Amino acid sequence: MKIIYNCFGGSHSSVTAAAMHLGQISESRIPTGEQLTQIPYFDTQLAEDHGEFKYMGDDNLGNQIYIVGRRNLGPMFEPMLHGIAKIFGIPSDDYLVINTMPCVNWIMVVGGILSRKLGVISLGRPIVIYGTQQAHGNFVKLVNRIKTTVLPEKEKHQ
Amino acid sequence: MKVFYYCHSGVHESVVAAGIHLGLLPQNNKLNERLVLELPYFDDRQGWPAGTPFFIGEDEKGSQVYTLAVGNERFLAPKSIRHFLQLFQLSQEDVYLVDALKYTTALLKWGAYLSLDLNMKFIGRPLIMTAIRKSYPNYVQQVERLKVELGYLN
Repeated sequence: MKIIYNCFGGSHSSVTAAAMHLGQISESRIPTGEQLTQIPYFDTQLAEDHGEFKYMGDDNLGNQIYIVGRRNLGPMFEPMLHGIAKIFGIPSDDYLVINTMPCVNWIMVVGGILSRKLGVISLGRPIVIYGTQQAHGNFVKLVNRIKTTVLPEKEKHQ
Repeated sequence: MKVFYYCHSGVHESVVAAGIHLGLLPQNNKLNERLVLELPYFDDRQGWPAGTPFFIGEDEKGSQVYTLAVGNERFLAPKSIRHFLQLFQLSQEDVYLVDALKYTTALLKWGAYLSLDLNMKFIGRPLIMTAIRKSYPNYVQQVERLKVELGYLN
């Protein structure tokens, strides 16, 4: 199955959730700034990259994990992909779309805008890292819910 | 072949363009309001969430014509649809994503907002109709250009 974590810019919350899903960052310990910046795509994607599905890795169940920045498509993104999948005959069990925006706190938003939109990386990156560390619990909850509830339920349908 | 016309709401400009494509609306640059209101999904998502593609009909060569809402992401949405299809190794040669937002106006945006979001159809609809009437020849031309590209017309 392809698991698609999506957020506004595909740089912070989707990347963090995907990395946690893949075990690249720990669920029990808050990651250090260095650990976060080592994650591929963390705080690196630009406007030109938005809309592209980036492969992050395979999890231990063989699911492929992707991230994407879908900007203002927001609530339209999931119905759009479901509709397209239906039209092209992609079974709904072959993919899972997860919005990671509910994990985001305002510190991440401020840091993200500074670093990605305005390009002030020296100021924005430490802020977004601090915000991500503060939001760690949200990501743990989300990834746990996906692994313990959503994925087993999808398996049952197959 | 599959043709997707996309616009802000997925139920206004795109449905009109799809209607012209399918021959449900006249191609003589004059808008027929009654026929527009009869188009499936026009100004009405029928309870589906925004973003859902709507099947409008099959054209004279058997291509399926859909409409789609993209909000203000007219460049991002087609890009992510193509990338999504790529993930599943699906051929995109016969997929056409057509920007029906090209000729949109502020009037139409406001009309759509009043009609769909605030459910004030009595104000929204006349605004939408005025806006569409103005841009109607553009939609007719756009569909013609697409049909040339698709090889329907010479």
